[in-house]
Amino acid sequence: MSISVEGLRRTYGDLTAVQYLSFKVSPGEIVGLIGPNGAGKTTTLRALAGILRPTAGRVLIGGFDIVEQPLDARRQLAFMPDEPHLFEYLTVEEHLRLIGRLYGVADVDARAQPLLEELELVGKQQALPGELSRGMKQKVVIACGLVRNPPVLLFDEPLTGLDPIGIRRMRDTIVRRARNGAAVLLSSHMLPLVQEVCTRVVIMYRGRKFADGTVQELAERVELHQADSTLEEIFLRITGHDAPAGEA
Amino acid sequence: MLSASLYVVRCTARNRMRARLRRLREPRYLVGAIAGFAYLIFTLVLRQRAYGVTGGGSGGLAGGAGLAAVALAAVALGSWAMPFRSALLEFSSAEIGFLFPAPLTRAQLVLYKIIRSQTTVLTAALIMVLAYPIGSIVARLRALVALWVLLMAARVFFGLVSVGRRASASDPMLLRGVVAPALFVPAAGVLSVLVPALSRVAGRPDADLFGVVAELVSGVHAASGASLSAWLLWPFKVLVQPLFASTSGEFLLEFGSALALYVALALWLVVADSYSTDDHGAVIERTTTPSATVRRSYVARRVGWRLGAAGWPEEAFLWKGFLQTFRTVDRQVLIRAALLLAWLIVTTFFVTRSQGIVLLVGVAATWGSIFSLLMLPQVMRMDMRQDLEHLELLRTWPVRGGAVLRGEMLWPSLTVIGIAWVFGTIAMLTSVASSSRIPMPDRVAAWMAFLALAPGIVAAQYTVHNGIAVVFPGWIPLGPSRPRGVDAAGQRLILLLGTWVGLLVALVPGAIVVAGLSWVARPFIGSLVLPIGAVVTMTIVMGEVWVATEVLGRVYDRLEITSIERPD
Repeated sequence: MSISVEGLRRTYGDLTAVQYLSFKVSPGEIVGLIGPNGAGKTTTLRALAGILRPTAGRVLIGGFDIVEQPLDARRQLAFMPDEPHLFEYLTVEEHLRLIGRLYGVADVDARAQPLLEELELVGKQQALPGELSRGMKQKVVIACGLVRNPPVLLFDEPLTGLDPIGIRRMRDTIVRRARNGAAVLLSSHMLPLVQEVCTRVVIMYRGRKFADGTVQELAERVELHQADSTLEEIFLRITGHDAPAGEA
Repeated sequence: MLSASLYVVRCTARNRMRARLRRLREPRYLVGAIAGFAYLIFTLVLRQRAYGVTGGGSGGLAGGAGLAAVALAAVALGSWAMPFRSALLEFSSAEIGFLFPAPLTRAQLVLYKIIRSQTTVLTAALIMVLAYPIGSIVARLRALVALWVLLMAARVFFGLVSVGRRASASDPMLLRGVVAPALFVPAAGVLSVLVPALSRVAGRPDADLFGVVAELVSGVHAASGASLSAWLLWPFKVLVQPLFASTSGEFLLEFGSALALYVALALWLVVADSYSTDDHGAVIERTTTPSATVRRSYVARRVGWRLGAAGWPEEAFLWKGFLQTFRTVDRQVLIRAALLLAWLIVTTFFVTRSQGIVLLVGVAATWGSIFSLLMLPQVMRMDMRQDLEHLELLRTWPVRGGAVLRGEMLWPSLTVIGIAWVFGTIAMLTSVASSSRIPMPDRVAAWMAFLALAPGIVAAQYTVHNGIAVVFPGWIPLGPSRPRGVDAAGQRLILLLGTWVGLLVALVPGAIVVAGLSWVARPFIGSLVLPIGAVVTMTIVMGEVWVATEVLGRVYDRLEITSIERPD
C-alpha cells in the first residue's frame, strides 16, 4: 500500500481539525479528497507530507512511518500545495537542480526537459518566480514534484490559477502518472474533474471521513440511483446541503 | 471623506491595540513586554540622571535652531536622491480594492493617506521624546507635538519630492513648475550657508582636518544668521523652531507657524499630485503586478556556479545563499551599507583627530572587524530566520535537521568571516604606521589569532540565532515588516542578550584550555601562544557548533508551520 492513514487525528489548541481518519491509496489509484472549506483536507495532506505532526494516529508513505522514518517517507512522496512556495532568487531551472540535489536525482537535466515541455514551461527556464504568473508558479511547483518521479503524489488544489488548457494538460499529467504506478491523492473543489479522473473518492466533513468509495458506490449509498448522478449531487446529499426541488 | 478616514484610523488603532493586548496572554509576548518596559524605564531613569536634567524645557538648545534648519534643508535636498518612493502616495491592496472604485477624487485619497499616517508619525515622535532626556512633563509634551508636526511636514514634503521625481517629459510643464520650488528652495538655502562657510575654511590653510570640520560647522552656523540665508532657510526654521521654544507661550506662537506651514505643504502636495499623470492605473500596477514588485529585489544574473547533482546537502544551501546574495539588487541594502561605512569613517575621524590617513583607515578597519564579528550576524539573516517563510517547502525535503541548520548557516557565516578577515588584515597592515609600543611580532600574533578565532565566533553566533529560530520561531519576524510594540522590542532585546550570552558560554571551554596552555607554553613560545590558543579555541567552538546543530536539528525536525507567525 502506498498511502496508509490509520486513525489520524490533528488538533490546533482546542480545535480538532481532523479526527480518527483512516483510508488507503494503492499504486495506480487516484483518490479524490473532497469536502467543504474547513473540512480538514489541507491539514490531512500536510500531515501526510510530514509538514504537520499528527496528534494521534499513524501515516505510512510507501511503507515508511512519516513520524518515525521521516526522511525515507519524504523520499517517496511529492507534495504540491495550493499556494506555490518558491525561492524568489532561484530560476525555474535552478529550482529543479536544487530538488535534484536534495533528492539525489543524478539525471535531473535529462528528466527536466520533457517535463518542462509537458507543463508548457519551455522558454521560462531562466525566469525568476517574480516574472511568472500564479499559474506558471503552480506548474513549477508541480514540475519540482514530478521531476524525481516519486511513487506517491499529494496534490492540494493543483488546478488553481491554471487556464482551461493548463487544466486539461494537468489532468492528463496526473492520469499518466497514476497509470505508471503512482498513488495519487488529490484534493480539489472542482468536483466534475474529480469525478472524471479519480478512481475513488473520500469525502470529509468537519474533520471526519463521511464517505469513501467509487462514485457509483457513493451514489447507491445516498440512494441516487440514476446512471448520470454527478459527484456534486452526491456530495451535497451526503453532507446534507441538498435542497428538495422548489426550495432552492 | 474626512469622517471615513477618521473611522479607518480609529478602527485600525483600536484593533491593533486589542491585538497587542490579546497577544500578551502568550508567555513569549508577556516576557517580551516585561523586558521591553523594564528597558524603557531603566533607560529613562538612567538617562535622566546621567544628563542631570531637572526641569524646565529644551531652551538650552535655542542656539542650535539655525544649524537644525540648515540640517533640515540638507535632508530635504538629499531626499531628491533617495532611491525609494514616498509611502504617502502608495496604496495597499485593500485601499485599492475599497477606495479606488469609490466615488472619491484623487485629492480626497491623498488627504486620506495624510490623515492615515498621523498615528504612525505620532508613535515615532513619542518614541523619540521618550528616548531623549527632557525634564518636565510639559516640556516632553511640547517636544512631542513639535516633533509630530516636523515629521508630518517631512513626510508630506517627501511625497512632493516623489511626485516631482516621477514627473517625466510627458507631464505638463505646470507640474514641473509647481514642484520645482521643492528642489530649488532647499538647494539655495544649503548653498547660501555652504559657500561662505567654505570660503571661511579656505582662509585657514594651516588647519588640520579636525580644525577644518570645526571651522566648517561654525561657518555654517554664522552664515545661517545672514539675511539672504535667513530668508531662504525661513521655512525650515519655522518647522524646527517649536523644538527650541523655552516657554509654553513661545512654543504656542512657534507651533502655530509650523502648523500653518505644514497645512500649506499638504495643500501643495494635493495641487502637485492633481497635475501628475501618476493615476490609479499606475499605482495599481506598482502595487499588484508581481513582476513589478519582485524584480526590484532580485535579477536572474549568472553567477558561474552550477550546483552538481551529488554531494552534501549543506552545499545546496550554501549555493542557495550565494545566489541570493549575488542576485540582490535592493538599493536600500546598498544605502544602508554606505551609511554604515560613512558612520564608521566619520566616527573614526573624530576619534583619531586627523593623525594621518593611514591611522584613520587602521582604526576604522579595527572597528569594522569588531563590528563585523559581533553585529553582522544580527543583520545578515540569510539563514533559517529568513527561510522560516519557506518552512512548508523545507519540511518536505529529505534532509536531516542538523544538516539543514548547518547548511542555512554556512553562507552568511562565510560572508561575515570574509568581511571580518578583510577588515582585520587592513588593520594589521596599517598598524605599521601607528606609534603603539606593542612589538610587531606580537601584533602579527594577535592578527593570526583573530583570523583563527573569527570563524568560531561567527559560527557560534549563527548557531544561537538559528537555534532561536527553531526553538522560538514565533519570535522571528517574517517578511519585510517587523512586529511593533514594547513586547516585540523586548523580544528583540532578549534575543540580543541571548546571543551574546550564548557566545560567551560557547567560548568558555576554549578559554579555559587556552588559559592553561598559555600558562604552560608562554615562557617558551612567547606570543605564538595567541594563534595556537585561538586555533584550539576555534576547534572546540566548532565542535560545540556541530553538537548544537545536531541537537537543534532534532528540534527542527519537530517544528511545525503553525508555530511561526505570518506578518500582518
